[in-house]
Amino acid sequence: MKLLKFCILASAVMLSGCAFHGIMPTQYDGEPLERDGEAIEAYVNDGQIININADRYPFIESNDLTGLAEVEGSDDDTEVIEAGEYTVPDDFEPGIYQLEIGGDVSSSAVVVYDSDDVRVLETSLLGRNGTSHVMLDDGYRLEFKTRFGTLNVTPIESEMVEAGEEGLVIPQGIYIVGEHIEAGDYSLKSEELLVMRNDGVPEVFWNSYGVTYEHVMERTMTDDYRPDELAESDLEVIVNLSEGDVVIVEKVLSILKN
Amino acid sequence: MFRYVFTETMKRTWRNRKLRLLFVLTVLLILVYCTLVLPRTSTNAIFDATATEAQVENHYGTKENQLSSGTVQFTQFTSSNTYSQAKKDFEELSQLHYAIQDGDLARIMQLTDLGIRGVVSDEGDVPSLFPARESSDFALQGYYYASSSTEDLNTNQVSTHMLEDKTAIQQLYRFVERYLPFAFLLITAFIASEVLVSDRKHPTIKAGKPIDWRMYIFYQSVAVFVICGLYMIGTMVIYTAVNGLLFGFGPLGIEITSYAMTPQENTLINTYRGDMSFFGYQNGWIYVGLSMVFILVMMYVLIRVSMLFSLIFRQDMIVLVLSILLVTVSSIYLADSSAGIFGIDPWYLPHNYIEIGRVLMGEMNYIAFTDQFTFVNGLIAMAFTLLVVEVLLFVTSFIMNRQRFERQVR
Repeated sequence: MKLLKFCILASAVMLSGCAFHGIMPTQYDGEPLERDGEAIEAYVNDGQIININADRYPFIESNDLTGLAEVEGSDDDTEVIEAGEYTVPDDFEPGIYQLEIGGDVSSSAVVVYDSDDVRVLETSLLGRNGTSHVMLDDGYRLEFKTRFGTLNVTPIESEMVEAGEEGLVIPQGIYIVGEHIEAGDYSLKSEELLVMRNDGVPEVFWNSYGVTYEHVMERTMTDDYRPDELAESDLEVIVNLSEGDVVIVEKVLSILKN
Repeated sequence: MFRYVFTETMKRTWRNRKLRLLFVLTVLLILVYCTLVLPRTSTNAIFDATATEAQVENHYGTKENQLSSGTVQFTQFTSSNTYSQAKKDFEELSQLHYAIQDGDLARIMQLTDLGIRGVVSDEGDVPSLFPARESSDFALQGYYYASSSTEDLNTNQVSTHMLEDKTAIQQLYRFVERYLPFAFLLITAFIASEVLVSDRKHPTIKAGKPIDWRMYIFYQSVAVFVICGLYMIGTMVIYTAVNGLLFGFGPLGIEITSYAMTPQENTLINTYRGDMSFFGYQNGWIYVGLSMVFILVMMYVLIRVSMLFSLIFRQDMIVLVLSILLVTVSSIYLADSSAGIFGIDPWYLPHNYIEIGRVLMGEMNYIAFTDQFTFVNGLIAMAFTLLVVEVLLFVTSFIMNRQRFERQVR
């Protein structure tokens, strides 16, 4: 009878399942693995990564990113710059600029610092992925790093990113929701979305099943970009973008409005 | 009469000190392995947290160094871009690092599925009877599929035990894949080798049994088969229960590798056998179940072969050595299982099925460029073998009748 009881107990444990992870503590490297319930829940429910550091996401330490919403476009002439550091307002007027690498540039990096010298954007410009949209305010600094070549800096007016059938495919840079991107709920199709909320709270969203930026570029280049193929996972990441939010795009961003 | 022979054989087996010791040692071995060895075994197969963190810092340092020195460019000789590569690696590995920090195993698995593997130190370094085979890409592909069962990812029910293949089902299929066929066949050979021969120690009792000689051997075979089968099932139940309680039973829907090279693409010259299209999935529990059924069939065949040897040689040590040689011959001499013998296709030869775990997983197909090593073909091979053994046994039992068998060898 005791054996029968034990068998029933064992069967119950077995059938109940797979959630039973045994009495041994779960470990890695010999250390117990500590689950951060809040962080896991934020990721599972919203696709948000909450335990982030400034090495990877330096923009989270910026206090004046939200001030970029006040920056307006200008219609100055295009300047051609070489590798170096350029400050606002000594070298450029505050404004919105389109950056485009010269034809002889094989690889380069563009880094934008805010007035507190916090790095708010770092992006790699090369080849077909060679344009960027940056906003520069008073006290901001632009670094252009390359061994060879030049960068065309063209002041532009503020305008909305045009949506195609595939949604929005946004080149790297800094964008204001309401001015460049329509406010609303978006499904994240690429891997990562960085946003500084209009109240100064930084948020990072991650979609493990999002396409890489190389993939986005490839699909766009071949006109074979079908958003229904991209979100095959149940883990769809929906992000609400409100007026005044600042979106940082380090790699090409693909989002689809719901 | 069957009950009499069966009960007597059971009693004699149970009273055999060597066999009792074997049973006790098996249970002890399981307990020691599960409670002392396995918990201290860390495969680091998915991630090595410390090394991953160090690697993140390395990539960050490389990226910042390139930025500060302004040497952002493609290297002329290698056509690689150190800055962009370091930046990409840093960003990807940072995600893995965050997932590890959060203890979010589901996310770790997702990232691993995407190819963000972090630092994997011992991917192929698993204990094996045949280390040389583990270096093949089959082992790596197999590993990949075994570890990438995504069924439970979204429900967040993954544990490190699962990632390290420690749950009951994972240990079962690892055991079936590697050691189980050999272990049970050798133990069967050990038990069966002395059952019939030991009758010769009691010639006055045995010689006068009112039962046909061939039926008597058959009854004894069935009795040994039941004992060995119970031993195998009992061992597996204990192994599963202990592992299940310590590390969880594992996902019911866990999928493992299944490989078959499809014949129409089998050009033998141009086709790469490691092509991903040849790899598929199969349910882990079904795999274990089929393997155990097949091992039971092999155990019965081996018992009958052992009876045949007993009749011919009448000496338990010789029977044991020959039986062990039969079980191990394929791994000792016939490493190339793609070769046929006497015009018979290799998938109809029984010795190729001794490592049934590897056969059902598809490794024999992988080695032999085929899809013919299947459970059904294995059963056909075993049926023919049994038929041959039965005929030989029938003939031999006439030549070596009971009286001649019991007679002292002078």
